[in-house]
Amino acid sequence: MEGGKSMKRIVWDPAKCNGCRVCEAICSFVKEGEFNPVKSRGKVVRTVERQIPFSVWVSCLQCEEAFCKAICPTGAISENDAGVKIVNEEKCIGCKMCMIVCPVGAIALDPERGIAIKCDQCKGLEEPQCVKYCYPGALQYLPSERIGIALARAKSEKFLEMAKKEVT
Amino acid sequence: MSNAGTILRVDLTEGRIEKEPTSSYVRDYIGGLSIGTKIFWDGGVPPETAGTDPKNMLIFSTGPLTGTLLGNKCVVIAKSPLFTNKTIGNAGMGGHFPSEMKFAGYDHIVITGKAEGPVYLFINNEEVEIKDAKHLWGLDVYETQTRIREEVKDPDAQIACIGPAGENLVAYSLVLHDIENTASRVGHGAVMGSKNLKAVAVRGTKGLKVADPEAFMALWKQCYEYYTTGKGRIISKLLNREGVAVHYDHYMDKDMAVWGNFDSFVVPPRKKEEQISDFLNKYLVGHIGCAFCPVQCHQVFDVDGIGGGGATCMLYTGFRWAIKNKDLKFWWRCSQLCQRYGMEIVAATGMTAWLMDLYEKGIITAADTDGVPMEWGSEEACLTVIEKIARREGFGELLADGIVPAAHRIGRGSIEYAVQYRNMNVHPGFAPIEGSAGIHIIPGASDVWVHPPGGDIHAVYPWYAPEWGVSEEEAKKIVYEWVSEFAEKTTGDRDSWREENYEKYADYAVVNESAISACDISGHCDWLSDRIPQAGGWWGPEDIARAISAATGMNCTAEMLQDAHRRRRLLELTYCELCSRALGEKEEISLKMLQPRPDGQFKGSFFSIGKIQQVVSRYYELMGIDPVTHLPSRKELERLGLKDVADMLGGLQPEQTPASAEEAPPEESPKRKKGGK
Repeated sequence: MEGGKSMKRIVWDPAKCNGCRVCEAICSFVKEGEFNPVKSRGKVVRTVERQIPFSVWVSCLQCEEAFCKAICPTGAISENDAGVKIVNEEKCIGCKMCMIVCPVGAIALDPERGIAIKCDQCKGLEEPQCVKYCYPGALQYLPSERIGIALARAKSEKFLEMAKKEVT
Repeated sequence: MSNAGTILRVDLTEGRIEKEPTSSYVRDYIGGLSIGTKIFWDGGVPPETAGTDPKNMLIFSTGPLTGTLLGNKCVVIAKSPLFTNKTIGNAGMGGHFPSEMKFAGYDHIVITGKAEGPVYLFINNEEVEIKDAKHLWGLDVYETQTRIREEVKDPDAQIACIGPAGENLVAYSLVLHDIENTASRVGHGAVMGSKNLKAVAVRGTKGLKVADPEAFMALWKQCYEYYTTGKGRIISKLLNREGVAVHYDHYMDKDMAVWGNFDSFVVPPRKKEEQISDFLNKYLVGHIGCAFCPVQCHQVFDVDGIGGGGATCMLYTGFRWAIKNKDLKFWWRCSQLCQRYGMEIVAATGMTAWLMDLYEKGIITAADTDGVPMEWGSEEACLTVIEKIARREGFGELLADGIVPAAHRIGRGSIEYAVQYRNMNVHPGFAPIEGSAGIHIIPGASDVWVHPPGGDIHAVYPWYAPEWGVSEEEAKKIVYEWVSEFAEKTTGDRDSWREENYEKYADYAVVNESAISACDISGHCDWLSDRIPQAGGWWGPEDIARAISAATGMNCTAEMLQDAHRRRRLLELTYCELCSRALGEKEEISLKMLQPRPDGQFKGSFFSIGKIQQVVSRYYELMGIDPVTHLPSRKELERLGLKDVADMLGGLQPEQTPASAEEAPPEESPKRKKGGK
């Protein structure tokens, strides 16, 4: 498959995330028919430091060079037409090597079926549901070539605000 | 199906852990507060029992929607150590603890007895352990949670705990979870403290399935649309941006907030740095809230020199206008100190304002407060009061059981300045006016009495006006119309909600109480329901019933929710009356609440005893309660399937309890069944 030009990817903006976990709830519900953060393909990793919570959203980044796909002993992970890495549930033996090599820890083990579960960007649906229901807009679904400028714009908002204040 | 299915019972005296199915309670009580109250009622805690007695029963109750996208709340229920008649107090709590309870497999956690030494409960799916907490005793609420997470080696354990105030049985201490979620107002912190229970930690990895995923998803989408594009978008946007911080500042702008100890309702003009909007600009670093809610209406602040923490709701109303100090950094210092100690801020504030009032009038001197003068607005006074009460040190010991015992201990007529009902401090932020006066007599009064739209609306339309880009007058018209429409839909009378409408307020309140209850039963947040029509009003009992049906597979209707509410409310009011009788308690209304408002926009408005009685009588009539005995009628109890309660109450004279009736000479007491079941 050719490099990720014009393929859509899910992008997370930490400045907007408030750790609400709607993404976890909707993901496990849509993919597994239950509310269970353990089975969500995206995880909200939360720590509290000096009574201030910090949330990091971790999900498959659809690496251009996917270690999970490379290490899988049964070839259970493949790329679809959109470059999204998908686990073939029949082939997966639950060895967990993909989980170990993933650089961000985006793959989980389904405790009931004993197979790897990871984000497939809600294949079959019109858009990833976590993106659809992210109220603060921390999750976006963007073509790869637009990710850079979208994040640049988001992070330059503070400067733009300051600029407005100077003028008035 | 979205019920986890199990009630967990822990007896700390015996160290016994038992589990039973929730199912037998579901048909008549459905979930949440209603099932929890029924469990309490069945527990047979004698009415005269103190809130800090080991016999007290502490219950954490979730609803069928808790842990789904449509719910995240629990209610904490126990005999209150605060109320003068020791009746049941319940308090809602959110965050991530209630959902985690469901993921671990439990709808309710019921705790009785008292551990020999400090312990905490660790619930990890099926495994339930009572663990030693000696090394945690004395720690503040934040440190407690950090240490427990380290110990159980799980950073995702959700913890509800007490601080030193609860350990020291302060009657208005609270239970706190994470950084800002509390079960507050009624003293559950002291209940836990009296059981030597430092914390309840939960970790759950089981899922919650729903009976009809398609229907549930459709309801979720409908709810989400309300937040984003529907009528609820204004309140969602504002709550997400700043919570109720600015809303409460408008209470001051509209003469709804006290300045001092209820002697004035005009807060002097605030400088820029005394406006909460300025504080938000400077120190807001994040938004948080309850599990799976898009709105995240709580705030995170980080203030140089003081530190970080969370804030929501009532926290914004403490140690500010009531103690005559407008410095917001000082507010942050006081509020975070109360949080750390696990002490409820409204009571602590009310206590301090009362002392300052007494000091100003020369009724007490600095000698009465360990040498610290209770000057209005004094930072030293406020911090000292908080510390001393939390630790029960010095004059703090006099105050730690509530304002009524404190006033009796101080004497000198100080009770006349105590603004309270049943030992609970009247809220200085939205002191009720006119129609909602029934709060003084109706026990367990829910928000419709404490926080009526007729008062709150004055702080809502100025909040909306700049968002809508309209004048305050314009915004006022729109919001008044929303509430009038709601009143018409629910009571057939557009004006039944208006504060001055004594004849009809009870009608409005009964409907609204039931709507709030639908949330307390289901676990759906009542901020996002039609119980606040001034917020746009969506998600009423019909919607909640549909959600419960889709979630659990039961055929739930609004009528069933209403009956589950009524059963709970009647058990609660019955228990309250039996408590009053057992203690010979008579409700007293603070004299200050009967004075006409001396100044401000609502100058002259006041409660008259006659009008209060009118509201209360109508409430009792609508609820099927006898105005003389304060007990539900046999007819209403039997209609609701509570014949056993009717039999237990039957034949009681106005002052009698079942226990005293049994002791009475044979010709005065007809035979009846033992016990309260």
